[in-house]
Amino acid sequence: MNRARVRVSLGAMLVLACASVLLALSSGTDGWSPQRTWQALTEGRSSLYAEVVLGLRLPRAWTAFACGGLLAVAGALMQVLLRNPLADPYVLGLAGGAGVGALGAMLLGIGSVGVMGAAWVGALMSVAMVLWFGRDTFVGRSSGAAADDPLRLLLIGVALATGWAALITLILALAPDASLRGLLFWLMGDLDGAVDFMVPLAGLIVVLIFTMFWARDLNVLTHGAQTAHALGVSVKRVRFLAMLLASCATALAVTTIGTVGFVGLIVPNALRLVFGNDQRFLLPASALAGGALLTLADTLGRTVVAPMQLPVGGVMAVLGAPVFMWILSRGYSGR
Amino acid sequence: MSKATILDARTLVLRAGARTLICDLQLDVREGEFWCVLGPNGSGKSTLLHTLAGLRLADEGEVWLDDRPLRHWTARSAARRRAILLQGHSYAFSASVVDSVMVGRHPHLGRFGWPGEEDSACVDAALQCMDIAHLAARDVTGLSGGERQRVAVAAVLAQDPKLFLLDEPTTHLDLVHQVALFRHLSAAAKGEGRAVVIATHEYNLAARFATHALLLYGDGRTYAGTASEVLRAQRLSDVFGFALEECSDASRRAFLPQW
Repeated sequence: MNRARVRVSLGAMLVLACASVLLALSSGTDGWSPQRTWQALTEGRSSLYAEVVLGLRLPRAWTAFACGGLLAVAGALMQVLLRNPLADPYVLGLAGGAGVGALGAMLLGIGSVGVMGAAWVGALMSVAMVLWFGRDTFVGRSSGAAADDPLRLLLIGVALATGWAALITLILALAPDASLRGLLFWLMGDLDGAVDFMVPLAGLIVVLIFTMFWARDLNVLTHGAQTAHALGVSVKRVRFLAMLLASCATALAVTTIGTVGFVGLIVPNALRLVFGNDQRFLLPASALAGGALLTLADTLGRTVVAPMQLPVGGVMAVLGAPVFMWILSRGYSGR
Repeated sequence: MSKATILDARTLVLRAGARTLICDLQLDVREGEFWCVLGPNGSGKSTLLHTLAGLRLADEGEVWLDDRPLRHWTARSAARRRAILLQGHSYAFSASVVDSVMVGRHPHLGRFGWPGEEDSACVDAALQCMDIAHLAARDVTGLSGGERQRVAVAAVLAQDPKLFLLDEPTTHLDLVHQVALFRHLSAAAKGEGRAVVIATHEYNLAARFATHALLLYGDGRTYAGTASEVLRAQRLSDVFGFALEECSDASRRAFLPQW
């Protein structure tokens, strides 16, 4: 991609992202009312409707947008790190760690801040284990065959994720019936009650800025560690940064809204099929498209069967699977 | 006046596990030279090239690039001086041929730099040279093995290094492209301050184009010298463990297996 095309495409993505947020703000249980929403946005909290838009829908939309963006960027980074388009933000077992932490805290009856903190601790423990067992991939001078192989890292992650999943099953089996619904909603990913949008949004911006410094290095890394090293990339440093940024992004999203699947897998892959694999475009575009997609999924989830609400993770997967299949079949037939 | 030394290996020892592949190698690659490294499978050709490129440390001894030891070079500054073609390059993601070749320009661009006119010119020249200009917009994952190999070589050419290190560059190539590549490398070696070192099994092409040759026996022994001195029927028979006979007429010479 050249610079002009990147600008135009990113501009289009930005418009799409704004449209998704505006749609989320003007959609509710009482239908769709863009005019009143616009009034609320321009005149402030003058009516009850404006209070709903600014006090409830706006923070929720921003939270969905920020977390969708974080997950999509984390997915794109993991796919480059592992040189595998099947990787997603949870492939190295991070969601499992966060899940065990959060569910454990919920069972112990600790408040929502405690649950968040426990999820963070679980996620960080999982990251620490991947870094420790896969240390050949991230530190040291040697660039022998063992250090070159992302498959080892992938296996470590899969083993960890399986272990965490088993723990989650045990927790669910032991949990009293009354708390099961809350636990399951957390596991599926849920935006109900998520209002603290500043932290994930700031996190998204920080992660994006950091990745842009190494975006072309990441491009070269897709050609393999030794080729990248021969082309002057500090392979281990870039891998470590990608791992760290992807982990922070995922942990931030998961602790805010739970383990929402699919957005981290399909958004980067769909963009890659349509626009090519240039991280200078792919990373910011993933942030915008992932944010827009999750915002739309959440808007659907809270309006289609209103006043009931569907967990955003479920809506995401139900929508995402067929759309991705469609893009996949189109993308490959064209080549 | 003697030509300047570009690459200098001093008392180099390379091991793989318990085996000593190369023992006490002295190698002095000077500008204008085209070296072919020949030896049986597993004799350490790739290990040697990786060491000469700085992708791997020598077990003993040291490699000097220009005026200082290779380990004192940063990855980036080394990448502007030398390029290496690795074996078995795989493409994990779809990418166009022209983008895959543009990757070779990475060390010449700043952190936020975008390829400019000069970079595009380098890439175009590399595409022309490897006869893949007509494939420029194609997806690399859909190419044939030989075409993919030419893309990988083109990326190395686009890197525009002073020192070319190529590990079996003619793999998967047909006869026309094999000869064209050797001819191009021979010409590239004659450029200002440049040198070429390749690992290859093509002893006849080596005899036709190389200025120097290095034989690796795989047991620590090595033999280095000018092509006319090293590439003899007796020595090649010895190193490959298969009898070869030299045939020549007024302008050509070749080695034929005795079967």
